[in-house]
Amino acid sequence: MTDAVTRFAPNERHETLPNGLRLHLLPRPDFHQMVAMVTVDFGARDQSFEKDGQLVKQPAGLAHFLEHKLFAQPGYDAFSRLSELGANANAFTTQTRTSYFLTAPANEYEALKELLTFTQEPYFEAESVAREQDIISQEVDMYQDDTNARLYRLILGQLFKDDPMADDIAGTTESVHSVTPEDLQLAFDAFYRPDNMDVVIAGAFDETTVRDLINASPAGQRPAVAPVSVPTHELQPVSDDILEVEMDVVRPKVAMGQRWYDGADMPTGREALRIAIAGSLAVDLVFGEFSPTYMTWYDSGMIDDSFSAEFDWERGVAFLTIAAETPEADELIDAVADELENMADRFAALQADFELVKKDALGRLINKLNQLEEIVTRFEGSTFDFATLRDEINILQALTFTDVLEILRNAQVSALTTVIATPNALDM
Amino acid sequence: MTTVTVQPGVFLHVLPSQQFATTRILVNFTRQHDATSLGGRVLASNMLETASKKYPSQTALARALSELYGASFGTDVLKTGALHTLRLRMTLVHDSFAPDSESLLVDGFAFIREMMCAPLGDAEQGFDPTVFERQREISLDEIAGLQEEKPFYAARQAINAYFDDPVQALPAYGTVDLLKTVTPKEAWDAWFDTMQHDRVDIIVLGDVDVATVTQAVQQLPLTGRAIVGNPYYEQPEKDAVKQVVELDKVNQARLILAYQLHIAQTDRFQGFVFNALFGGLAVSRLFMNVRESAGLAYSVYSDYNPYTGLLMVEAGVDHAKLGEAEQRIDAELTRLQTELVADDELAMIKRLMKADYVTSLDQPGRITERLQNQELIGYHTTAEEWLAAVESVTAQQVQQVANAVKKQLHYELVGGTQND
Repeated sequence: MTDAVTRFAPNERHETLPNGLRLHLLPRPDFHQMVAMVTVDFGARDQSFEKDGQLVKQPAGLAHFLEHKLFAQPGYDAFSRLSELGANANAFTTQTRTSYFLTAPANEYEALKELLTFTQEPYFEAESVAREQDIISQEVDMYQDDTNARLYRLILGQLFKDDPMADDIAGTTESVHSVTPEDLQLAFDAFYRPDNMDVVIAGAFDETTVRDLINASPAGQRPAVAPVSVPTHELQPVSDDILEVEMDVVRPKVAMGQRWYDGADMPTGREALRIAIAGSLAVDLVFGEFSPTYMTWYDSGMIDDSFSAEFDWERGVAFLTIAAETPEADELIDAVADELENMADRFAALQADFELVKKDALGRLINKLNQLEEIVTRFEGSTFDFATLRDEINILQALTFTDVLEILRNAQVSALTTVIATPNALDM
Repeated sequence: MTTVTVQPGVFLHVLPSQQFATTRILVNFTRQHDATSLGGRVLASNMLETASKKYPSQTALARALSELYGASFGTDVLKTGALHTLRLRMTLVHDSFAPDSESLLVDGFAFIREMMCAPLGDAEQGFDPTVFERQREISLDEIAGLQEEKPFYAARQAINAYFDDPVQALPAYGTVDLLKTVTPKEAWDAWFDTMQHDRVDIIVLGDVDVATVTQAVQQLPLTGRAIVGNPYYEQPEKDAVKQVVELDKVNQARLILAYQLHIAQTDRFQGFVFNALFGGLAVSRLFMNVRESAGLAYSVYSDYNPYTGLLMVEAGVDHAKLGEAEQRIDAELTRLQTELVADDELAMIKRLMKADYVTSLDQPGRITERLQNQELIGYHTTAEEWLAAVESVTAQQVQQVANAVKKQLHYELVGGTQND
């Protein structure tokens, strides 16, 4: 198996430049393009940090705002320039990362050069910041029209009370309108440091050319700066209450959530990745087609294909979420709670099918070996000690039933919290 | 690529490649889109991906796929202009990941044969009624759920308003009315009729050899059939623009403008370049001038369907800016009609289209999709020909295309409640 993985993911290289910037090269010479990403260990949740001994608190949505504004360069728009160069560019902000990436034809490097320039040289001009406030407000509105996104935001709110995790990544109309060029510059200086960034490139490219280009680029040339200190997030306990909200939905929707490593030290690096993969396998088995309990729910019409159960792990947080449309919200909530309270036992009872869910999970990851963009954008940097898809496949391959069971038995989990979205009373 | 005519009207297209960690298999059944068989085909396609005689439950089916190293299997219904395709689709991991299987490809085709030939049910009663009713419920719920996706819903409503022929307006996945009335027996018959009469294109992309695939395909019970069907649809051009305003609970209004644009097949690349300039890309004029410069829309783009001649502009707009946004979109079209596009802008758009094409060469789904389209329209274009055809489009040709565009429909979905 390891040989097969290596056949489709050969010669991966990881290097650190003198200024602290990390470089990850994942060559795939059979491909016709390359995907390159600059990713910063800075996301929506990182709203405060210390500067000159003072605590700086920034508006919600700032990381995302910065992501938008970085494309505005003096006299040109970097997004348009990348497009003109034949590259397909995009960027996204999560709770813990900001990433800029592009797809370019094989062995064409002008776009890569631009990526390594505009992400390092901000230009925050008051008028264009004001205009961006309106554009992002519209984006926030659009998320408000998406009931699934709203439900997910609400369950995060239940899981992470009074923590930025509960905020929309884009912020609110008010917070977005309070953003100033100074805020953006402060955040850039604090977090867009060479040692806080990774460059990941996958696909068809010449290694020497790419290495020389990065070394000579602003990303490679910028001087190292001292890290800022970021206060640790003190999480409030999760309450097991049920939040009920009216929404523009046809059928009721339920979301449930549970934090892992609640009040305990979280594992880090590859061990964190191993546990995240194990958690996902357990969720697949207990809330999937091999579980007779799950199939009873499905066959009775209590759930349908909209049911989803996810195990998420980002820097500093691990949590499980379940979402479903259901005609019987109360019954489903009780049934899911019962499974989660006895998760390890339920998992153990399904031992005979463990190898099957593992084969399924392997199949899904092997499929991703075809997708350069997926390979690059799923990179989580230091959170998983710079693991790549190849490492994920190898870790999954090595996981046994006993490993997963032990992880489930040792996991310290929070109370289970619930949100129910019911159809608007006036709607019918 | 190698094409083998397995039977008259039954074609196997093999694309050997060592680039991918997977093998992709499509079995496409294509006929003229019609209202009579549509409901049955849609529900049959759902039944085929859910269960079979050998795998009567979802769990049994999932187990079989997991044993094939997490193979994925599913069915799709889709339209290519006025043609409707019912597709069986399977992806297998490369044999090197499956140490205890002699050939996943052979196992995969045996699985497809099982799903095709022995569905859950019998010829007298049709599909198993319990599973069938459940699938019908799921399909109806899905259609109801689409109502919640406002941009999608608005586009659907605009398409309904645009087409004179209600059959052409029917989506590939059917409608509530069509799905409600189909019986398990009708859906069963629709499937066996499909298997017997539709044009069949089997496409295999992966590290495979033609002989092995051909042998596997010959095990499928597909007999010879006549090929019928025309992907092209035309309707008379209207002089007046049809106006439709619909009210719904939306924070952001949707504005959709539909135009007719008929281009000879040999000139279709001119249409593609025009659309890319107008609104098909993120650097198109609509995006740059309506969204970025004027801030009139959060999203705005155009899409061109060469088979139906429908050019559609969709925009997410603030309610207060609807009128202004439409004026600006109109102005962008007028500018393309009256002013020749500058050389550097045209070159940039072509570069982008070519880059996107090259990108598609790394995506198994797009490679097989393009091949299927080419088979259905009977035009084969190699990568080199495609790139050259885009390169050869001139500014004058783009202007001519712009002048052939005629607005037919103004549709808006705006906040509010109906009075009736």
